[in-house]
Amino acid sequence: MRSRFMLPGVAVVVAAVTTGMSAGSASATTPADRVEAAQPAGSVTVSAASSLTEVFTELGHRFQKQYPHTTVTFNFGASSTLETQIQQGAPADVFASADTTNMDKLSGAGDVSGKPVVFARNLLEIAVATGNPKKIKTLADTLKPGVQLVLCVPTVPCGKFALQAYRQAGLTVPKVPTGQDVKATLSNVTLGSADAAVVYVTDVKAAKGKVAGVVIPESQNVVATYPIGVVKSSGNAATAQAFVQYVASSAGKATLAKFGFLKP
Amino acid sequence: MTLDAELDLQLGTLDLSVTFDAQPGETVVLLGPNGAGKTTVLRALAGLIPIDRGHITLDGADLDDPTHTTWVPAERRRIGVVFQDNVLFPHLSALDNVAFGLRGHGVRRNAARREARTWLERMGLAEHVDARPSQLSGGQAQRVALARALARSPRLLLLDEPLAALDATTRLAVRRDLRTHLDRFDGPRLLVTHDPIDAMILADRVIVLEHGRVTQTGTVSELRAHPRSEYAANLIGVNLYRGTLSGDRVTVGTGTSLAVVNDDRVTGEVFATIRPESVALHPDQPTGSPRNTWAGTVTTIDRYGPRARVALDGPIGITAEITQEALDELAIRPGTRLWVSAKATEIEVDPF
Amino acid sequence: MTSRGDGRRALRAHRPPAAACALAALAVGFLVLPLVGLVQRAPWSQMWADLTDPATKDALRLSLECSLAATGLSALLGIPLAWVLARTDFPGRSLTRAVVLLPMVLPPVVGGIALFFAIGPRGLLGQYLDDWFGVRLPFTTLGTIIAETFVAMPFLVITVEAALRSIDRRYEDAASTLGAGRWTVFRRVTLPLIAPSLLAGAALSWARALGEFGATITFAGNLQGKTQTMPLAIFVAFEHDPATAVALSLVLVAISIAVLVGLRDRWFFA
Repeated sequence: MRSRFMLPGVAVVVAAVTTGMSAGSASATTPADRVEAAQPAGSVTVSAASSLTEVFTELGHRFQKQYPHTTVTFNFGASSTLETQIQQGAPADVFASADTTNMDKLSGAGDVSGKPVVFARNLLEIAVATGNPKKIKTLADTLKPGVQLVLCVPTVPCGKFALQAYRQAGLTVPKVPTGQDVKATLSNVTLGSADAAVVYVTDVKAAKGKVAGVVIPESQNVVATYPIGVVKSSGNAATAQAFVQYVASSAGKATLAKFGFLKP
Repeated sequence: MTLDAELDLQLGTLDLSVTFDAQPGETVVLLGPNGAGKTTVLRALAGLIPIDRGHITLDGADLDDPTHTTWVPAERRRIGVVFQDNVLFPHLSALDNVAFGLRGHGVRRNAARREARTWLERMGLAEHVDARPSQLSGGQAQRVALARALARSPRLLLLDEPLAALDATTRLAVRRDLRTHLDRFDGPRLLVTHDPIDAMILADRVIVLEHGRVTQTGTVSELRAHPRSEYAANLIGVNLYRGTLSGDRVTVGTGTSLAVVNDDRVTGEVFATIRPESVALHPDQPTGSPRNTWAGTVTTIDRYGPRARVALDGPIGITAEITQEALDELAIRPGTRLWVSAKATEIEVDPF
Repeated sequence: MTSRGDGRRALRAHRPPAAACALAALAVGFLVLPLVGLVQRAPWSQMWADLTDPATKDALRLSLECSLAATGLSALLGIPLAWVLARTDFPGRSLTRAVVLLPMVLPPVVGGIALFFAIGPRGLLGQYLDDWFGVRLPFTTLGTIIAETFVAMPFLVITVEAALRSIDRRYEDAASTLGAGRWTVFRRVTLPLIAPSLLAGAALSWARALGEFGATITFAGNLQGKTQTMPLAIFVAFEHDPATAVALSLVLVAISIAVLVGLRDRWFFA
């Protein structure tokens, strides 16, 4: 699997150029005019990875405030699930994934307009009950007897990355309960059925004190790269494109950073 | 094995208050209209419903005594019950039905079945031991029910309308058999019915129950002679004779014969029934069409408003129903000698 | 016995009205179409691989074990409950019956959530299970059995209660007069008389338990080998491999059809 860690910067430039080229069907625009000309309007559906739930909801409000004639509806779920849905024809205008694999799959199937933009990165963290009663300090601690661990299903990005992290730590993971997406997995810890879950740093932050976080050292951690793109079959490509641009803009980046995401 | 019962209970609209007893070897028939409380009496005796006041004592032991909070549940009363419609267990064979009651008491399965088989043979049902109740005729089912109730050697036998489910022809034969089987049982027998003929054939003593109260007890002849309520009068007040029919004459008891109309050319044992209203009384020997006339002596008179029942002795004992007016006009008193006439056309004859 | 002959004779004598037939055909189509949809997508080539996959075998084994255990537990608790509802009269009996039947109308996921907050690790009762015995029900097979029993038991209770109400009480009276104590009466008279209805009720419960998803996934969670029953496995598979989901679905359909055919009319309409 090619590492895409170096490419985000390149991808943004490429995406900006291509979106600039495909955005204006009716109006001839210069990059500088982009925001003023042809105000975005109408509704768009954004299918985004579960880990983007809180930050995208915030971005959605800001976008709708900036462009009052738009309506943004979100469909959050595991990236692989969303990818399957879009391929099967589910209506979506924008797709934001927690890994490049699923975006590549969708592009490969010809369902993405132009080149997707990488807009953020994320790291994994161990979520435990507040106060860390089981005294978990490392990934190895999560495998101790008496500790109930949950992970995301291996078919979704956070599950895939979690297993990768354990491998990098030299550990084998036994059969553990799994959640369909990162939020479902985290809820096990908040509700008390599990003692530890491997989720994203941003999920622990978004849980606002309901869970405590245990840092995973860089040598074991896995970086998740988040691309966003316009879905080919979108019925409102202009507004979809505007949203993508907003997310990738400095305003968008600032919001992402506030929620704990890393720079792309 | 004496039964001594004082039952006071309220069930829905029924207000039951009866006192009676039953002696070993006697068949007591509880006779009354529907809703009188007969089945309720049976259920209380069997232990299926508790009484509010009173007591039920069998063989000197209290089965139900609210004042002393004595209560023996049905399963420990050793009372045999034959239910209306028999209520044989549909999922068991005749043999297993009869063996059912035997199996609880430390009797092993095979021993119980052997004893059940003996009972069924005694009832003449040897070929039907493996039959399911649905495969038995009404009469056969009734015998199985009886065997089932008797198999545990109960101290008291209760029967609820045992013949009600049978058609007229079967009823006659079964009634006769029932008398035989009942006589073979040592303990007291209490039988509930609304059919007076049942009472007449099966009863040693009759208790008339109306609206939850005993209106009369006595032997069948006492009842017939002195009915104390309209119901009893209507029910039992018929003149019933057993005799032999040959040609157009029924010979009863002491050799006297009655002229009847024999449409079906029946011969043999019969019941001859004469309704008291069909009996006329004359001060002198009558002439005319009535074929049956004889002289008799008045023994008792009972009045009911405008009617009166006059019982007479004679070659055949008979009860006549006449108006009060006639009674007064003829100055009838006990001891008065009168002529009795009964029309042959008004005598009902039924094969026995 | 002669039901088939009677049916044909009835058809000849009175042809059913055309409108009723048309609507009936539509209803059948509506119900059969999804099954046809499944069958035509059956991945015959990979079917064997899917069915012999360890996850599938685990799911199938779990489904059968848990549904049977849930049926057994439903019978153990449900028969006495049905008896009390049918034979005793206490204040609030109608309310009790309504509460008992609630899981039948409640969305299963609601049942799962309710169970979670009752006997889950931090639940009303569950916290004591955890604190005193270290027992946590989510992610255990017992948790799955409990979730399935919760949704399946009402079916058994309602069938058995109806049967107990419909049998002639005099059979039990007769048994009492023959010396049988209450337990003997129940065992040798009542149970045999309600047997067909009891079996139908058990079959319904079993089918309900087998298909249970919402309560299982919210309460017992998703753990292969311990709580991932067939419906859960199908749900998980559908998200990343629809073909496998179809294969597993067909297995469940086949089992269900086999049971329904085996049950026959008379047990449904006993």
